[in-house]
This record gives sequence, structure tokens and C-alpha cells, in this order.
Amino acid sequence: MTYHTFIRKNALRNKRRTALTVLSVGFSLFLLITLQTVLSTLLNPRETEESALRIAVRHSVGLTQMLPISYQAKLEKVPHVKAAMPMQWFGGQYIEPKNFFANFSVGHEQFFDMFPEFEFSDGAEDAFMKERIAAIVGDALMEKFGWSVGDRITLLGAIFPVDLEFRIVGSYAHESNDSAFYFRHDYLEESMSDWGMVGTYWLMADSAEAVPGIIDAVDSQFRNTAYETKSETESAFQLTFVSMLGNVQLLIGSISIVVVFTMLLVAGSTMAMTIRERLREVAILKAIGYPRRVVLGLVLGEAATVSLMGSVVACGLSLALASTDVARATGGFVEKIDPGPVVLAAALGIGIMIGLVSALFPAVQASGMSINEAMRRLE
Amino acid sequence: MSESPKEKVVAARNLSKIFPHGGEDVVALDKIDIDIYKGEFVALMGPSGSGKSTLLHIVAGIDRPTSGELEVLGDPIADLSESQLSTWRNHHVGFVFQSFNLIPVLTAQENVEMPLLLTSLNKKERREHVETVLRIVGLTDRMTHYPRQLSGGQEQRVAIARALVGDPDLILADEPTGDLDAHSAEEIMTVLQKLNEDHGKTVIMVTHDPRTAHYSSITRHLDKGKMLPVGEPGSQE
Amino acid sequence: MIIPLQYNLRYLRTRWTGTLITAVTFGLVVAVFVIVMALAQGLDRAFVTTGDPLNLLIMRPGVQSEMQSSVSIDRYQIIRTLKGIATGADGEPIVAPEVLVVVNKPKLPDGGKSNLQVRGIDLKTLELRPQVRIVEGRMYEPGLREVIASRLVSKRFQGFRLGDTPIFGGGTWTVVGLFDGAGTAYDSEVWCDYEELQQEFDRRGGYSTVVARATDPAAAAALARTIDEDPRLKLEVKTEVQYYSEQTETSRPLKLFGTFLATVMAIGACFAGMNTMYGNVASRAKEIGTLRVLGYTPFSIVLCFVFESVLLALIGGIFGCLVSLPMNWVTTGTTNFQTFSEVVFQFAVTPRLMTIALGFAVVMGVVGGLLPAVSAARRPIIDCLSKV
Ligand SMILES: Nc1ncnc2c1ncn2[C@@H]1O[C@H](COP(=O)(O)OP(=O)(O)OP(=O)(O)O)[C@@H](O)[C@H]1O
Ligand SMILES: [Mg+2]
Repeated sequence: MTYHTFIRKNALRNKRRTALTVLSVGFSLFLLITLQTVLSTLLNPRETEESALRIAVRHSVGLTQMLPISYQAKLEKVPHVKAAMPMQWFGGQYIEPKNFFANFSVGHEQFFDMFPEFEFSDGAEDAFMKERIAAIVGDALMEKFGWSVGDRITLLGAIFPVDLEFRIVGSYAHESNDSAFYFRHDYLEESMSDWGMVGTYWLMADSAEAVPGIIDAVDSQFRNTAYETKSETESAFQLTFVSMLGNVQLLIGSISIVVVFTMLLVAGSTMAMTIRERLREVAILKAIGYPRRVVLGLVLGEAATVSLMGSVVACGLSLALASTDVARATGGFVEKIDPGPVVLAAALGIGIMIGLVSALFPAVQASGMSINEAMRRLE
Repeated sequence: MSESPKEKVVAARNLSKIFPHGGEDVVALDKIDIDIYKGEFVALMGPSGSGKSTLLHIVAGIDRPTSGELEVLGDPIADLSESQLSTWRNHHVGFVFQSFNLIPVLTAQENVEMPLLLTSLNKKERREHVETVLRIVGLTDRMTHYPRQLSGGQEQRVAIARALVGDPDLILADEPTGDLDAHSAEEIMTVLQKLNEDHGKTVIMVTHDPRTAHYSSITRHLDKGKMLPVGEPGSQE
Repeated sequence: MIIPLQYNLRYLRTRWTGTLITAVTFGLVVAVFVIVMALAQGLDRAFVTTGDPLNLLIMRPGVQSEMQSSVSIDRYQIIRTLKGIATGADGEPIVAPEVLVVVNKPKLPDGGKSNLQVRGIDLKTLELRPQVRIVEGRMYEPGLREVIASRLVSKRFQGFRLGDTPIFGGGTWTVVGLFDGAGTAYDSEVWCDYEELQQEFDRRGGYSTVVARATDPAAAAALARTIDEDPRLKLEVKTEVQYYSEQTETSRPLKLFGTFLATVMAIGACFAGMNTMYGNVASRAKEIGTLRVLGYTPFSIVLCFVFESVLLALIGGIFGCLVSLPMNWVTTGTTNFQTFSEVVFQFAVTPRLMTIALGFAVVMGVVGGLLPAVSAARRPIIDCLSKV
């Protein structure tokens, strides 16, 4: 027999209690993983080589205010700008509001240069250039509605007073963002009887170093005009959305703290219960010559084992959640809750820590007790 | 005495209790016949493991026999359902344990009141009953004490009061003096004797101690699950 | 049949550390639930209490919010002539044009910018929305660049205290009054004369919406139909109640989040509660046996322990509610993504929410206590008595 078998046998002695503690810690830790994953997805929009080169330009007041279409030519002339693309959130509904997905009008001439990371289906580019009512749709969305290339579909205007009919000319693949719908801005412009406005422009810089300079140049060019601009990098633009939600960080942060505290309470009370029942054994171990240190180690080892099992349960639950369609349940608010190896490893670590911290007080107390006292406490 | 025309309180025929234990069965009671009549004070004696507690439990409706016939106070208690049996116990028997088994968070009078909560008595009536039985066991001055504030003998007297409060016909006691010193044991035995003689309760008591057995009117011996004939002395006597 | 309450209470008190820990665990779950739901409810309340069923909101068809709507002046004139509209103190029909713009203003305390909704109103609007009261200063003077701001806005944004002179559009305005919107969506707004706002923002061609007050519910329905069918108008009508209840979409993710949180936390807490109760049952085995010998039925034992667990959870629940109660006075904001402007609101820890939370605690108590209680009742009496 080794210390390991001793710890394992002890942990499994009251199987029901161990199982309940494991499940309790498991569910709480699962919640913690989920919260932290959502928070970090919201606060750290993934920056890629391509996204680092993109700049969003919008009206300084906000997204409901429009910029004139004439800005395109001016933006293209700004030094280091490779391409400037108009882009408008159309907010159209497919049949009924619950079929929510993102749909945008884009400048068809720049679209393919603007998103080099998209893998377009064969012939998509040519068809999009030629056909006014062409649409390009993400793979996930194609699958969700069972569409195929060549289908004709209609989006009902919710923000815009027009219903538009499209023909899907191609699809695109992307690892995370593949459920959007893109169509030509000139089609929207025309349907709105030469409206002459657009919500945002997206610029492509020729190098990442040029980005801050471009932002300055654009905003100062339009300062004190009727249509002041606000330019920012793609990730900053996404953060703007998150900050509009309110103080998400404070909310999730404080809930996380409560969750951790709850876990400590649960694990702590179980360990206290366990150790109280084990006092006789602690006394026996000491009577046969175990030093205090080893007794302490055995008890802490047991607590860590139990909470580690809880962490494993939590990781299992998180992986299960990662493979479900979170996007649909949250109405597209959260695309995916995929914690990734780093968060999971951290969760395992937190699990062990919770075990150790929660058992520390009762363990020190028990291991420090004299043999006589421990025997007497049993009565 | 078995020829007495008195009412039978316990009538057991061929009563057996077998505990399945792994592959082997433990025969705790082996085809026992016993009759106990109203007003008797029976002491059950016998070596450890002879089946005394088992018999007492079966008579109290706490455990069920494996086979045989049993009537207690005229009821075929082995045939009653679990909750019928609960009510039956509440009405007809009072049980006294070796280790008192008082509820530590309740005071003496609350402990005694516990069985009465199951009856339709109102608060005032319950209080009167509780006071009456506590007077019988001589503990009126300790009503509001908690068990840990009482001596062993006092605790056992509270337990007897609790057994008595529902006015049962039959009082069963499993080594009631087993955990007590000689002086307290004497007090308890005096109380039980008083219940038997002055209040007409039938008492069946398990004991190891020949001195306490002297308080009884009849002593019966069990050995290895078998009932020895009346009057035959056990190995200890 | 029923084992008395003191029995459970004294036990909970005797094992107070275990009781406290378990109750706090339950309490934290309840508190998180209450706080997140209070956030969602506060947000809903801002919208739901805003609408009046007699007020008809007349907008361009197909738009999701007032912000995106526009109604021309000649159509406003047509609406004024329709039947079924209530008459104001001045003998004129109560029909008010409104102009909505959004300005981007720095917030307190950090100066991060947020969108603020400015509503250009007619003085008739006050007859339409009697819940809005001036609490400090005075009403704006028509024809002047004066605004009144909600008290919440003046606390949340820089430069909107009484007497401040915020700049928006091109011009400088003066805050002459502060109003209280009684928890409605107007608490997130600044109001001023619509004609001034039209000039400032070059919106002379029309209004955003027109609001009309019907004489009674039947007239409201008839009026809505008339407007819908009038070929000259081509406008859409909703009652304010309808319109604002559509805006409560904003709180949907929050409610979903709150429910998810509470559910997962509750599952964890129920396991913990079960542990405590199994412990309570195990340490009282002998007593359970004794009670059974005294004549208590198995069912009354189940009842006793479930009850104890519910009591434990209720203590926790009450603790959780008390902890979250102070949130009632906290003001926060989020963005209404249909208008892209800030909604300012207070957490609403309502009696109804607390009742739901306590009900939730009871459910946790029952779930956590049932199995241990049943296991206690099903143990043969003999086993209970022999276990020390
Ligand atoms: N639950 C049980 N499972 C298995 N065997 C049991 C059980 N209860 C009692 N026995 C066995 O039945 C026999 C009779 O036990 P019982 O408790 O009636 O003896 P007893 O006469 O009361 O002894 P003591 O004087 O020591 O109390 C013993 O051999 C005991 O081991
Ligand atoms: Mg015995």
C-alpha cells in the first residue's frame, strides 16, 4: 500500500458524499469556466493578421447616423489605404424575426480584397461582380436554412422600408465567422432610390504600422463637417459594441467571485464533515507514529483529489457545452463557448486550489490535535 | 402460572428470526413458544447473543419475525403495514432503551411529550399527562432540563416517562440498567416495579443482572435462540 | 403526525456551522439570481411602464423604433383632423409631433461616451405623458434653446445639471429643469421644443413620430384602423404599450443569462445541500429509530427532514434577498440596440421577484432534502438503533 492508495480509499469511503461534492464543485466550476470564456471572448476579439489591417469608419455620433456615399472616393485617397469599402447593416428578416442572422450590404468591388481570410466557393467572385442581386452566404447559414447556390430568397426590410430579393451565387468558409449574409450595396442604394448614404466604411491598410496614421488622417479630414467620423481598428470597433452593453466586466467578474466563494464553502463544509468523522483514524495514525506533517498531507491530498475530480466533471460539462449550438440559444449574441486548453488547464488548477484551501483549516486543526483529545472528541 | 385465566398479552408459537449473513444464516430465535399474561413482570435473561433483544424488538413491532405466529395484545402485528405498525406502537407499547435515546435538542418535558403529538390531545391535556408521568418517575423538578444536564439515572427515568406517557398496556425495556451504576439501577427498578404493581402495566425486561431480575415476578431464560422451560435456571444462575 | 418545528430549529442551531455554510451557499445562489433578474426587470420596467394604452404612436411602416421613423408635416395635419382623438384643455386635439435625435455625450465619472436620446416635444406631450413631472427648475420655454433633462441623465452624463449649457447640434442649450420619469424610458432622455430641435438638426422636412391620444380604448382601435387604411397617410400605428413591450427584447439575453446562472448554481447548491442533509440524517440515525419506536410513521420522518432542508434553504433565501435588496438603489445603463441609445434604469428588486426567489429556494430545499429524507425513513428501525 502507498499513500496514494490510502488517499484514494479514503476519498471513496463515503462514496455518496464524495460524489455529491464532486458534482457540486463540478457544476460551480463549469459555471466559472463558462463565464470567463464568455467574458474573454467579448473583451478580446481575436486579432488576426487581416483584422489588424482593417479600420472601421463610422459617424462620430453613432451607428444610427449615416455617412455620405461620396466619402468613398475621399477615403480611397488617404495615404496607405489600399481599399475603402462601404458596408451597411441591413437588418433584414428572413420570413420571420426569429430567423435572426447578420446581413450586410457591401461594396462588391472591394469585398474580396477586404476579407482575404474568407474561402469563397468557386465562381462566387465572378458572379458577385456580374449580378446586381447576388448574395454570398456563410457555410453555417447555408446549412442552417438548407440553402444552396442558385436559390432565390427575400429579406424583409426592418430598418429599411424595402424588401429585397436575392440570388445566392456562392458561399464562404471561415472558422468562426461563417453565419453572415453579404450582398451588394449598389443594389440597396438603388432600391432606396439613390439614397446616397451608408453606415460604415471599412478601410484596408497596406501595413499594420500605417493603421494609427490612417485613423488620425481620416478623422481630422472630416472634423467640423456635418458628418464627422470616428475611425477605429476592427477589434476596437467590436469592443465598442461590448461596452454598449453596460458594465459586463463588473457583472461577470463579481458573479465569478461569488461562484468561487460558493465552491470554497461547499468543499470546506464537506471536508470539515469528513475530517470530524475521521478523528479516530487521525488519532490512530498518530499513535502508530505518523508525524503531523504526513497526517496533514494525507488529509489535504484527499481534499485535492476530490476537488480535482470536480474539475474533471467541470471540464467535461464545458466541452459538452462547446459542442452545442449556443449561438441559437442566445440569438447570436454569443457565437460559441469554447474554453480552449488554457482555460481548462486553469480550471483544473483552480479545482485543486479549492480543495487545498478548503481543507486547510480543518486539516491543520485535526493534525494538531493530541491523540487523547481526538479520541475524546468522538464521544 | 400459565394456567392462570388472565388475558394473554403476548402469544408466540414457533417464532423464528433468521438474519441472512453472507452465505450463512444467523438463527437468532429458533422456534420459540411463549405466553405472557396481563400484569406480569417478566425478566428475560440469557447469555450475550442468545436472542433476547431480538425477541423484544419483535414483540415491540420494531422488527419482524421470519416465521411463526405472534399476537401481541390480541393483534397479529406481523401482518400490519409499516405505518399501521407505527400507530399500533404509539397506542400500545412503551419502549425503554439501554442507552436512553433521548433527543438531545429537546428538554425533558418535550422528550416526554413526543409520543403525545401523534394523538389528538390538546396542549393543556398533553401538559397534564407529561406532568403526571414525570411525577411518577420523580422528576418534576427537572422538566426544563436538557438530556446533557441530567445524570444517567435521570435520563433513564425521563425515557421511562416517555414510554409511559401514552398509557400503553405493555412496557418493554432492553437492559434499562445496563449503562447505570448500582444506585441508579435500583431507582429505575423501583420505578418499573411501581408501574407493574400500582399501575398494572405488563413489563418485559431484558437484563443480565440477577439482582435486577429479582424485582420481576417471572424470569425466563433464552439460550442460543431457544426458550428454556419455565423455572429452569440459565447458565448464569 | 408532524414532528414539531422546534425540533428542526434547535438542530439547525446546534449544528450552526453546517447550517450557516449551507444556508449561505443557498443564499448566494438566490442573491445572484435576484440581482441578475432585478437588472432584467429594471430594464423591462423602464419600457413597460412607459406606454399608455390610449396613446397611439404613429410611425413610418416597417421601422423597429421611433429613431428610424419619419412622418411629414402634411400627414401630421391630416392626423389632426381624424375622429376619436381626445381634446385638450385648449380645445385642440391632443396630437403631438415628436422629433428624436441621438447625441454622443461623455458620461460620468470616466468620460466614456454614450449616446443620449433627445426628444423634441410639443407642450401637448405633457398631457400625453402625465407621469413625467418637473422636480427641479421649470419647463422649457417654446422658441428658446432650452432643455429639461431627466434626473437620472443629469447624474449619469456630464454637463446636464440644472443651469449647465450642453452643446448639441451646432448650438448651445441651457438646462432649465430636471424631470422625473417615474421609472419609464423617458428617464433616459432629454426633452426640448421640437421646432428648435428641427432647426438645430436640419430636420425641417418632418417629424420622427406623431403621438395621438384616443378618447377611449374603442376609439383607439378605430383610430388605429383608420390610420392604417388611409391611403393618404401610409403610416403604421401602434399603441405605446405595444411599442414599448416590443422594446423589452433588449432584456432577453439578460434573462437568459440569469436563468442559466441560477440553474447551474442551483444544481451545485442542491448537491451541497444533499450532502449536508445526508450528514444530518446520518448523525441522527438513532433518533430517527427512536421516533419510529415511539410511533412516528416513515412518512412523518420524510416530512421532518424535507422540512428541515426547506427551512435551511429559506434561511438562505431570505439572506440572499436581503443581500441583494440594496441593489434597488443602484442605477445602471445599457444600450437599446434598436435605437442605439443608452437606456438608464434602476435595478428592480420587486416583492414579486423576491417571492419567486424564495419559491426557488424552497424548490432547492426540497430537491436537496428529499433523497436524504427518504433514505432516513426507509432504513429499518433496527439498523437505525444499532448504528451509533
Ligand atoms: N441485524 C443483524 N444482522 C445479523 N445478525 C444479527 C443482527 N442482529 C442480531 N444478530 C444476531 O442475532 C443473534 C441474537 O442477537 P441479540 O441482539 O438478540 O442478542 P442478545 O441476547 O440481545 O445479546 P446481548 O446480551 O449481547 O445484547 C446474535 O448472534 C446476533 O449476532
Ligand atoms: Mg441485547
